[in-house]
Amino acid sequence: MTLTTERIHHDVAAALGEDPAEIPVDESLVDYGLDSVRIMTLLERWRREHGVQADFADLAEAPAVEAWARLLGAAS
Amino acid sequence: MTATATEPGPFDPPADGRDDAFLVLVNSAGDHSLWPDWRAVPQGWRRSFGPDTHGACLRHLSAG
Amino acid sequence: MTATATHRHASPDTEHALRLPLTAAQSGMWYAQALDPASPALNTAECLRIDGPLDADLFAEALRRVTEEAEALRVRIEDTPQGPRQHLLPAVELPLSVHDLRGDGAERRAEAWMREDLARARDLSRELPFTHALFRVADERWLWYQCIHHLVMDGYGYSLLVRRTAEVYSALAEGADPAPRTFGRLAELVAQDAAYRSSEEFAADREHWATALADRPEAPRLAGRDALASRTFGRRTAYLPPATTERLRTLAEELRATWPDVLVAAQALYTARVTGRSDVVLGLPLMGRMGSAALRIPGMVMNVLPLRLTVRPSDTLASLVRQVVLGIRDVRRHQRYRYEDIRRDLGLLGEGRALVGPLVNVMPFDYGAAFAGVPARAMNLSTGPVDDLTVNIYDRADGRGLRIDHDGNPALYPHEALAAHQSRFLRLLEQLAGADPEQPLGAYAVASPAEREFVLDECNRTARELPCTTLAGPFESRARETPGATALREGDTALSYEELNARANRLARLLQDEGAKPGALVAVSLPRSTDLVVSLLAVAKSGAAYLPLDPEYPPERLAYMLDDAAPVCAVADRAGRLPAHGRPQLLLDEPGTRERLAAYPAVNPPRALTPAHPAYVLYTSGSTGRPKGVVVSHGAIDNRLRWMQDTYRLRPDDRVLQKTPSSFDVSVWEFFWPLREGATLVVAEPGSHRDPARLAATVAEHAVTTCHFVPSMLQVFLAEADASRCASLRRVFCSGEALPRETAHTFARALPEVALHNLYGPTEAAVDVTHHTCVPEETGPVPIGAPVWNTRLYVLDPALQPCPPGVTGELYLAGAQLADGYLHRPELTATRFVADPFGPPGARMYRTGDLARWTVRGEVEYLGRTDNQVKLRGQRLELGEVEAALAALDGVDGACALVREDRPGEQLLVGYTTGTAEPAASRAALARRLPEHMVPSTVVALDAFPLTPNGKLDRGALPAPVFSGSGRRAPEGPREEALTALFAEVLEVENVGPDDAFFDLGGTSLLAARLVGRVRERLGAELTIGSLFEAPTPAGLAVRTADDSAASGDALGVLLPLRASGSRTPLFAIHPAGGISWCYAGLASRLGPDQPVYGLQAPGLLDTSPLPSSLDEQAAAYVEHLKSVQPHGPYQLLGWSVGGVLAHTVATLLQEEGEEVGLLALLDAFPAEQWRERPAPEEGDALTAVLRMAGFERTSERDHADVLATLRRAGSPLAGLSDHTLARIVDIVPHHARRMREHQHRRYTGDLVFFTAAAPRPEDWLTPLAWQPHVDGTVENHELPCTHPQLLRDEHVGAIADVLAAHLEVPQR
Repeated sequence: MTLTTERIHHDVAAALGEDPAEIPVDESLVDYGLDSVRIMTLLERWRREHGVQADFADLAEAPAVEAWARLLGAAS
Repeated sequence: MTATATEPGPFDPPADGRDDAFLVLVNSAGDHSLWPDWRAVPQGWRRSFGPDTHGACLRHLSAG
Repeated sequence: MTATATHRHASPDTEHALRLPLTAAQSGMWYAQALDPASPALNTAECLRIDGPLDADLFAEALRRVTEEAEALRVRIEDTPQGPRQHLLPAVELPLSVHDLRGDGAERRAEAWMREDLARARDLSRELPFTHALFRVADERWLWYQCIHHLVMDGYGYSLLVRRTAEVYSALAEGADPAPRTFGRLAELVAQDAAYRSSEEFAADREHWATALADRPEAPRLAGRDALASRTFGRRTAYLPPATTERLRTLAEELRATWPDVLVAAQALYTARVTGRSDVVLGLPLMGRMGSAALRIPGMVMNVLPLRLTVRPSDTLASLVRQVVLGIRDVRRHQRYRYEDIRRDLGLLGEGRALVGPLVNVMPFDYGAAFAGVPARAMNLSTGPVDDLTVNIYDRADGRGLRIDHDGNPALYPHEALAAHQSRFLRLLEQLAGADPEQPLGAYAVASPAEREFVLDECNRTARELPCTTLAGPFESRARETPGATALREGDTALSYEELNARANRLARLLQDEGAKPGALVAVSLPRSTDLVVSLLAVAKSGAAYLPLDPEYPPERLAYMLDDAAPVCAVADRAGRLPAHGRPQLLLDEPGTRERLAAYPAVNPPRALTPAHPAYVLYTSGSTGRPKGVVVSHGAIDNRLRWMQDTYRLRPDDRVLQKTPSSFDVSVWEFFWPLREGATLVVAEPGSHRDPARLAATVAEHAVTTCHFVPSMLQVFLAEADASRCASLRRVFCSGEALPRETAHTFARALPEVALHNLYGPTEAAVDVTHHTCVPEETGPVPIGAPVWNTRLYVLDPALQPCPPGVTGELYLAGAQLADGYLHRPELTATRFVADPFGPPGARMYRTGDLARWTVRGEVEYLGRTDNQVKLRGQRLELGEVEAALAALDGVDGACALVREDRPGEQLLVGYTTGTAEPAASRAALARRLPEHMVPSTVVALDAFPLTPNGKLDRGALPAPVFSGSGRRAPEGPREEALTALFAEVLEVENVGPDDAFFDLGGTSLLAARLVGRVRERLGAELTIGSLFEAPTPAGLAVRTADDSAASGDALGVLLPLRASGSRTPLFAIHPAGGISWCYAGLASRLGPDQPVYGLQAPGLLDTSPLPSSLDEQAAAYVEHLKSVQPHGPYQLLGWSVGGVLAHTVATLLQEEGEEVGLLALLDAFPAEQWRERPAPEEGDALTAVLRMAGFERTSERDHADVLATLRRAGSPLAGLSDHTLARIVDIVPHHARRMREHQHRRYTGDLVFFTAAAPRPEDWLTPLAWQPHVDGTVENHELPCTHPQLLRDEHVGAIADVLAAHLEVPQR
């Protein structure tokens, strides 16, 4: 199953304990509490469920929903 | 210097701005005891007043 | 770009470009290493296990390439005047060693190699900051060891390196080209760092941290203290079971957090409980690379940030985790600001100034690495230096659950302690993982079940069935059994049991007629005397409880107590003892009373007394200003007395000293214990409990076997009284204050046959509840010990859960000895005597407010207070009561009080006020209102109280009081001068005048004892502490000591009678280099009152007579003076330093005249030829000698005016000498030195007794054997472990006196 932007947005919001409506897609997620553990958790899940190839540094470099969507080639 | 600034203990009035709850307990001999609300009531004692503020419990004890 | 290009000849440009500053992160590490260059603590290391085939050559090649890619590894650090710089090396030789260890114990040997390498400090200016080693431990098992200095790499960097190495190796193994390098350059890290440090963000971050931590608490210390940075660390590794790990993850999700958040919360909870604080600061290492190019640059970037959390028992896990989540979020916003900078901004640089407690280091790095398909598993060996405790947590996603390493500073955490902290932490995690996150945190206990069982049950197995008796019954039984035995002794009078019982019975019946009965109170106000004992017994026999009213209390306080307690009547000795109180009063000294008493039968009165009835009421200091009465029942005190008898076995031939005031509960066992066991109670004189010499005399006179001391008084007693007079003692009890180990050691040395028992207990628990017998060889704090019968001790954390052994908590007491409560204060009683969660149903426990901990041996150690109650010389007082009394005075706006110990061992109660009140007047007003021990030594007036950033009173910033004398008139006469100077010396106060009172200048009873000792030592005058209380000024004392033997008149004549009386043959002691013989006063004292001692002093101290032109001439003059006292021999002579040479000369002169010399003793004096080679003396030497005489080393004094100034400033009695005399001394010293060099010795016939100052000295050629040519007899040498100037100090004088005593002759005249 391919990873969609919506999926990314949803999973990120869940990891941060917020409603997706509270998480703007272009803002740095660090301000909302994103840390390395949460990135690893998301990454591991996306690797498992969507065969994502990126590594930690890829995600941590530009931690925003939109940027990740681009990086991971997500379908809109 | 031997006097130290300390934090309130379990039976002390709480630090400013907090409203921690206390109880007054009584046993069969008629002894009373102040008690913090978050700790289980020991055997042989029962609640006779509260939960209420520290000050209210003390007033209850002075009156009774 | 090829991977293996090397740049052999760098162009000047390249050379310059290759030199970079360090980043702030790197600088922090550099300075840490520079503090201790030989420390390997900054080496970090990891070991990867590769289970499968590996090509070692390919591996080496992969490493080489990665090393070339990772610039941060290829640096050499040089120190320059502008600070450290990193020199980026274009190429390096790969520091890789390959070891084939296949065979037995391969892994063990590999591990040993790794440990040894890890323990080797790196010199980054000369060697590479990293080392690799590859071990083949089996055909298909390899261990890859990496050790990298923390200055160049952090944990995240390792993960980059490992993954890249695996990637490169895997590509090479397939014969392919590895993917192009992605690592950024070192210069980028440097640039990023510089950009941050000059940005607005930097300033904002600094501001943030300064504000957030301005009112921070003390850093939490699980070990209870700080230690210096260690070169090694201890490590305990454990795994949290996978099931628990899963539950924690789920729980975290439910709480909208991650598992590291929950672990941080757990550590915060653990730390809060073990340190007893709710405000804790943990250390949070953060990788610091989010959103940054640093994500792809292996290097040292990480930072440690303080995470401040509040953990209360009423909080829930859910709210704590939320606090953690938000707290970490907040920390991350300002995480670039370096930890070292935060510490510096807060003024915390330097050792022992910690900011954070334990570190919680969670490392979830992406570690999936495979070497050509062979997976590698990483194991950390070191994450860097450990100041206190670091909890490292790894989720390597390998199915084993979380790995948790507790790394501890070995100086703070011995192995068992580290293991205990870890197992408790894991147990806590288990509890948290399985419980409802909404329940209060107070429900969790930190102690393991075994620890809980130990501290609650095993340590408290004290149940004992006892008969129901009271204070009256056992005494009456004893009186029946042994009516003729001596019950009481006071001075010369004695009372038998029968007589005492009869007197008490009469008074008891009279009291009953006045309303005394069970449940009623009778006040007793008598000085220490037989009548006091009779009265207390009488009250007990009447069935009532006694209320002691100390006659020394101010009337206002007595009136308050009488009003509050409402006794049915009062017993006193005379009218006016008590203020008017409207109740019947029995005055025992009145004839009318004696008549009334005589009318009563002397038979035990009937009474319906039960153990539940009150036995006594003692008032203690109240924190809000009013003292409160503690009501203790007969049952409670009877338990205590029965336990005491069973433990210490008093016999009828024992004599117990009654010396403690009746208002202090220790007196209860003094009064009532011996009298129920058929022993004798010896009543000390009133006031004598403060005077060590009188106490010793009383002990000796009455052969006392048992007595009590408050530890500070015991110290004074051991220092000032003659312990050898107390040989009758069998046991001494200490209570009321912490007993210092040094005091116990001093006691063991002074009274080795006497048992010393340390007891503890508040008034609220029938005198004492714990006991410990001191063992002389032990070290460390003296424990208060184990509980007495039917008593339970609990050490509880802030959640009222039991603390494990070794962890500090608040001490609670339970059992049969608890008081009933506070008289007429139900709310106070209910807040201090609370429900006992661990005892039988309905049981109570008393919260002491004392901090304590259990030892693993089942004893309790006392560690201080939780509040503002203090003990001053054993007397309990609430600072709040002193403050309330001050605040109530006119003109006082605000008040606070403090016990200060500005000089070690000297405690002073100091009051502070704001407002218009004059401090001396305030103090005088308090003296009229409060008992003596609660009156501050001084009151300091302030404009305003110092405040903390939070606006609270900052007690730590209150200024030390400065005592100053009035200096109103100058002292008259050498005696007044000397005493004034001694006052100044002992009190360390300026400007002392002869009319200033000792206690007004900050004197305490400890200092009083010291003053008395110095007066004896320096002036040879016998003074008691009592006389100091009676005549507390130098002028007063001068008059008092005028008729003593020593130093009469001017003390500067040639003949100085240190003791003119006594029947033995006199000892003549000749002065040392300064010409004054005052130094022998202590020796004179030690030789005893029957030994006359005369000092001989240099001529011309008082007048201007010329100094003799040779030692022979000087000695001849001394012979004249000798003969004026003792016309014929045998003569006994002693001399110190040049005095020894003179003594030898005098001895030879006397022998030439045909006189007999019985003793010639020299104190470290050497013959003239030993000195001839030395350079001639200058004034400098004289100045040094004068200062040495006063006990100082010369530092910057240039001339004798400087010397005088130093002596005066220091308050030396020598400063009391006139200018003329001091100037003469300054001349006399070189005079002696010159005459010494010119002197030719005669030969003395007889033996020489010699005392050598045996401490190493520069003049190592000096030897007593040098006297052999000048002595026709033996040289008997005694060595003392001290230097020349120290010979006549207190510690050594005794030894010298002992030797001399053996040689001195017995009465001749």
